[in-house]
Amino acid sequence: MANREPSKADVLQGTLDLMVLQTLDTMGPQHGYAIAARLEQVSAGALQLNMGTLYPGLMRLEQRGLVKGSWGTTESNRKARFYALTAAGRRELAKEKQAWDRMTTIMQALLRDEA
Amino acid sequence: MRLLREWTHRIVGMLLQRRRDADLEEELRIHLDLAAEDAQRRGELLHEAQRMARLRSGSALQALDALRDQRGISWVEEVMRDVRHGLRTLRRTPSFTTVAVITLALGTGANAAIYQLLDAIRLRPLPVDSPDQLAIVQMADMTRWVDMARWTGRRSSAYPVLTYPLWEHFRDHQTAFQGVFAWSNTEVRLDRSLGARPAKALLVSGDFFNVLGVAPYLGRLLTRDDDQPSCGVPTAVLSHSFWQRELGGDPGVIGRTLTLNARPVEVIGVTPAGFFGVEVGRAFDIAAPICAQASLGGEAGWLTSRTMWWLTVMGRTAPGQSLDSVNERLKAVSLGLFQASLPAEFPRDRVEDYLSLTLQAVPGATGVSAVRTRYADPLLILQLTTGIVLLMACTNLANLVLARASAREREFAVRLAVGGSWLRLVRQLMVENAMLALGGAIVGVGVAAFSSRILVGQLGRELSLTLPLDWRLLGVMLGLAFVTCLTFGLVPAWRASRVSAADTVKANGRGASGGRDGTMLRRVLVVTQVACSVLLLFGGVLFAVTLRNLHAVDVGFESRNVSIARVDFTSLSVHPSARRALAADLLDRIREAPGVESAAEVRHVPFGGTGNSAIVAPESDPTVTTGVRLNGVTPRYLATLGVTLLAGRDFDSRDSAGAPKVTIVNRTFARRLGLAENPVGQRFLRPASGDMFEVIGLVPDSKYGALREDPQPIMFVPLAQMTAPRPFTDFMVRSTVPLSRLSSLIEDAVAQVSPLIAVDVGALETTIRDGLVRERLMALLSGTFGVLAALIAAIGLYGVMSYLVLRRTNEIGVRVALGARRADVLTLLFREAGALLAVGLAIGAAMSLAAAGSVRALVFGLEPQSPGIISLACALLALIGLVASYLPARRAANLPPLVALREQ
Repeated sequence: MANREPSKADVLQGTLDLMVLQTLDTMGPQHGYAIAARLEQVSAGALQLNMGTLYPGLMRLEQRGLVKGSWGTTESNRKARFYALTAAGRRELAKEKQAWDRMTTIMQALLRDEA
Repeated sequence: MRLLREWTHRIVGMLLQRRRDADLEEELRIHLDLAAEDAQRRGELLHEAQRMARLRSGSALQALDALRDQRGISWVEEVMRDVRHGLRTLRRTPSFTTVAVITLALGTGANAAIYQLLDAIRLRPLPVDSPDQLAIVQMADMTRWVDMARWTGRRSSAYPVLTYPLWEHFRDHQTAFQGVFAWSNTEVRLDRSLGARPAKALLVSGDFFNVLGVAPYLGRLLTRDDDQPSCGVPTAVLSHSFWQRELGGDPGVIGRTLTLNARPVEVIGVTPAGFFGVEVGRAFDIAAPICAQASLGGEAGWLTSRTMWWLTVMGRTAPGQSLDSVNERLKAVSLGLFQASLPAEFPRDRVEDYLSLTLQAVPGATGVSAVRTRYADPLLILQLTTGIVLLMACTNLANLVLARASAREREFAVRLAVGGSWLRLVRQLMVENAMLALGGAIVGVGVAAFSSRILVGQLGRELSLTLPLDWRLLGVMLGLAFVTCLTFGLVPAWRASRVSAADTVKANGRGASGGRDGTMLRRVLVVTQVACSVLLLFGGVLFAVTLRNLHAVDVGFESRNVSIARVDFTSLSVHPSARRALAADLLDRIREAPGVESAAEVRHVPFGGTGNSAIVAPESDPTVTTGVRLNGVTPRYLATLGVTLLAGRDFDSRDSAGAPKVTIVNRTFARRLGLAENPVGQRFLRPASGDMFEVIGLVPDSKYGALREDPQPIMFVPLAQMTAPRPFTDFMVRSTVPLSRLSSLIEDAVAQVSPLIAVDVGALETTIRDGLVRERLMALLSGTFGVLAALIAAIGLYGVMSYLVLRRTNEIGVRVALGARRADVLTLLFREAGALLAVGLAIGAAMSLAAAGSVRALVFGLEPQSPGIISLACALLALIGLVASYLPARRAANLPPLVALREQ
């Protein structure tokens, strides 16, 4: 924690779930590394997910029944654990997205007023 | 709904999809590999790529830790851990575990077994459609009807009955029921290919199955079309168990012809497996229509007789209709019914009686049952007994669990003191005790199954019952076991939470005289046990003495070496007028058989379950009537049974059908009728037939039908002078030849007349013993329960005494060190046990005294409230109790004082 580079964005509490769900929604079932790589790519390298953050997060989602993990093989014929959205996950995603939109609207309105 | 699904999903996920460490590690390793491959693809060397991957993805070890945290520990795992711990603890104390499990198993198992029997005989409704709509039709005034039927007709059933003309008229004119049916029991003999055995048959009216709502298992069941007057080759329906047992479950049986009593019947169907008829305790084998009564070899004329009462009638009410409204309608149709069926030959002074009969409906959901009446009281008593046994088992268990937990109080206190979670302690105790309960319940199922088999085996001669295990009942038993174990098992945890650890740790073993706090509950439990076991031992002694008394009863004849040969010539279709000659011929041949010392024919075998009554009056005053028992015998009957004539002569060839009516009476008969000390030559009247009887002999009193009965007035008449010979008869045979050999000798003798005649030979002693099934059952079970109870009480006392001794070890050490002798220590401890015993015995004796009155009808030859038997039970228990408490007391007294003082 202490030696983390300040330029890298900290994952905002509670947003990791939303990011992972959204990634799985757009890309379909993915293994953990692909999710991390995708987030890194989207954030142009600003978001580097530690395994210690990513995998407990995935497990939490799995425990809540929002994603389902199963072993499979990648395109390069390598064994990996794939995570897929469940129906409950899709519902949760829609709900969270809405909440996020509402929150950003509020924040934007608030911040612009202040400016 | 969605929430529910999510939660189930989550729980299932937690239970089944918990990932192992290896699985997690592999996922992390693959992550690093993929990251390194990415770096390689961007041109890095392998080593550098791996370093960069680690940098980018963080430490795998830390990630694994975080994952383990996230995974958490499921409660399943925790419970499993508790179960393992509990098993270890229970294994460490095998004697405690064994005693606890066995106590529970006996308590619950015995209860289940008796309850099943009670349920099967008394409570379970018939296995038919809506049994609560069924009603039995009987006379509103049963006593008057029985009296009337005795005067004017014959009765051939143990149940409320109608004559066939009455039934026909009732069936065609009644409006009270939605549907009605009639049935009667009879016995038929199977043909030789099926072992020539007798089978239990039902003669049923056409609507029998239809009204009951029984669907065929195979083929079809009887309908009205099958039950038409003069039904030719009758159709018949087999019961499932008969079909399985005798015909091997052959599916091609439909349309086959069976031979019953040497007459053909056509099999048209098989009833479903659970259906046994409407009589609890007598499962039928074959059902045929009523019209087959005569063609199956029964007595002619029953279908037209207005004085032969032989059909039991039941009806089904319309849904929602009350029995009251049914009874109103029954009352309304009764007069017309009895007027239409008034027998022409009816004695004029009885006509009014006949016409004033009314029909009445009583609930019939549980069918009819002769055994029910016989076993109702005994079963209820046994159920109460097992209930008490269960109560004792529970108190015993409570005591054991308490004792064990008290011994661990210190452990608990320390655990709590060092920061152990109270909840965890409780959970662990719960798991431990639940395992005890489960173990007890599982063994209990075994006990129940085993004792059910024994019960059915004991009752087998009288009853055909099946006792399937009732899982609901087992659930209740299991629940009871759990509640007991958990309630008492948790007491120490609760106590540990209240008392400070320091106190508990200090107090243990150092108390001056053993605090009264924890032991009070246990004392109460032990007193309860002692009291209950006095009650049960008392019951056991009562029924054991009853059985012994019954065995010792003088039946008034010599039953040793006497056999009964039942000879059945129904298959020969002998005309009634020729039956007497045939029976005489058979008797001659049996008398000539090798090894036969003496033989005679008899109408009613003593203790055979049948009988005949007559109403007689002195010659001087025909209005002073007395009811007596009547039996028809041939000459040499008395000699065969070893009865000596006190005066007069035996019957002989002079006493033929046309000769003057003669009789041999017993002492009670002579006394009841006011005859002389030697009544030979005196005469009396039988008003019903107008016959005058001359006494030609006097015999001592003997039992007629039951060991319990008081001396009955009995008159013997020559069989030759009795009417209506039956198509079967019984011979009494005296012989010292072993039964199996004698049986084949008699069979050979009879076969000379015709091979179609069937013979069953049995010992008279067996017949007499069979009458004691109920008494033997009561003695066996209540005796067993009594001993069981005493054992449980002994264990309880032993446990409490051991515990007290343990608590007072230090005190004893001090006393011995100060010069107390061994005897003083023993006295000290015995006083404690003696007080508990005395209180328990007093309460138990009082309870026994109170309960004794209610079993008076079941005991024989003793006064249940006499102090003797209660004292016996108390003395037995006191002895057992003293032995049980002596052992721990002796141990304490023998302890060297230094050891005792050091003892923690």
